[in-house]
Amino acid sequence: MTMTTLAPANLQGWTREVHIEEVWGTVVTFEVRDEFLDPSVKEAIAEAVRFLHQVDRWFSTYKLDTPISALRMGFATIDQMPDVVRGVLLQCAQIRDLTEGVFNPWSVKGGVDPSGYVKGWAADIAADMIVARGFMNVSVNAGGDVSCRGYQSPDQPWVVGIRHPEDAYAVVASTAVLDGAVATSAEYERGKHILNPRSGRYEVALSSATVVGPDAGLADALATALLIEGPSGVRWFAGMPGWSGYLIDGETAHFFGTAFGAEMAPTSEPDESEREF
Amino acid sequence: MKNGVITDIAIPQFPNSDPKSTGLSGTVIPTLRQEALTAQSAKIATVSGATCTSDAFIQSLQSALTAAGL
Repeated sequence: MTMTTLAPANLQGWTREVHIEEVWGTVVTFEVRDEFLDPSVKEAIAEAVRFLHQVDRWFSTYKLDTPISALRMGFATIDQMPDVVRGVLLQCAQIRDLTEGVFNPWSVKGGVDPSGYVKGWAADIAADMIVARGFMNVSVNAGGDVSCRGYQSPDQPWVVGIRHPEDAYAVVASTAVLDGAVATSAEYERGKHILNPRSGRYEVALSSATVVGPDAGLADALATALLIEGPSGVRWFAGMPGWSGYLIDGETAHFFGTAFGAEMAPTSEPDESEREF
Repeated sequence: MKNGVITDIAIPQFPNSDPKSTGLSGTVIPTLRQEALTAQSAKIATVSGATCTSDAFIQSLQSALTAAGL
C-alpha cells in the first residue's frame, strides 16, 4: 500500500494512536490523540474493539446464532432478548415515532433490523470506553458514522468532513465537533438498499444526508430518515437545539443548525429560522 | 492521490442564499469539484459517509487519513 503523507498541521505537535478494525462488514477506525499518550492506549482501544465484536454477536443479522436473528426468525420473543437488545429496540421505537414512521426497523423484509441505529450507538459507547481509561481525545469512525470526544489538536475540536457523494477522496463540507457525532446515510456505497416504509419501495429522496448531534445512534437513524424523507424531514428537529443537518440533493445542498450555519453563512445576520432547531 | 500525497480534498467555499421557508437555515450550491485543496489547510481528521465495505474503505479519504504519516 502506498504510504500517504500529510503535513503535521493536523496534529499541531500532538501524537496519535490509530487502529483500524474490520467488523460488521465494514471498517471501524479508532484514533486517540494527545500531547503524550501512555502506552496503555493500546489496551484501551483493544477493550473497545472487543466491545464492537460483542455488538456483532448481539446484533448481526447475517449470523444466525445472534439474539436478533433468533427474534427475526421467531425462535425467541422480545422478552427473551438480552437487556441490551431490548434497550436498543426501545430506542428504535422512539425514533420511529419521532420520524413519523420513516425510520422503521420493523418495516424491512426478514424481521426487525436495528442496524441503522446500532452502528452509531456502538461508536458512542466505544468512544466513551476509551475516555473512561483516561484518554480524553478520541474519534471512532464506524464505517462513516463518527463519534468524537475532546480535541484533535490543542484548542481544535475534531473536524469531520462530509464525503462527496461521487468522489471518495473529496469532501463537500466539514464541521468541528466537540463531544458529539456526525452520521451520514447514502446509497453511493452499497446501492439501493434502503426501504421507504411509506411506499414499500427501495427509494430515497437525496444523494446524501448527514446529521450532527450529541448522540451517534440517534444521528445514524435520523440521517437514514432524512435520506428517505428529504428536506421536509427538518420538522423532526424542532425542539432539538443541539442538532444540525447537511442534505445533498444532486448539485444542491441544504443545511440547518449551527454546525453548518455558523460556518457557511459568515456574512449573514443570525437568522430566526435557524433558532427553531 | 499523487505520489502518496493527498492532492484533491475539495473544500469549496459556499455562498449563502436565501433560507427556505421549510425551516432550513439555508441552501447552497456546492461546486462539487472545485479547486483542489490539500489536507494541510483542511484540518479534517476524519470523514463521515455512507457505510462502506472493507474493500471500498481502502480507496477512501478516511483510509488515507488514517494511514498518513502525520
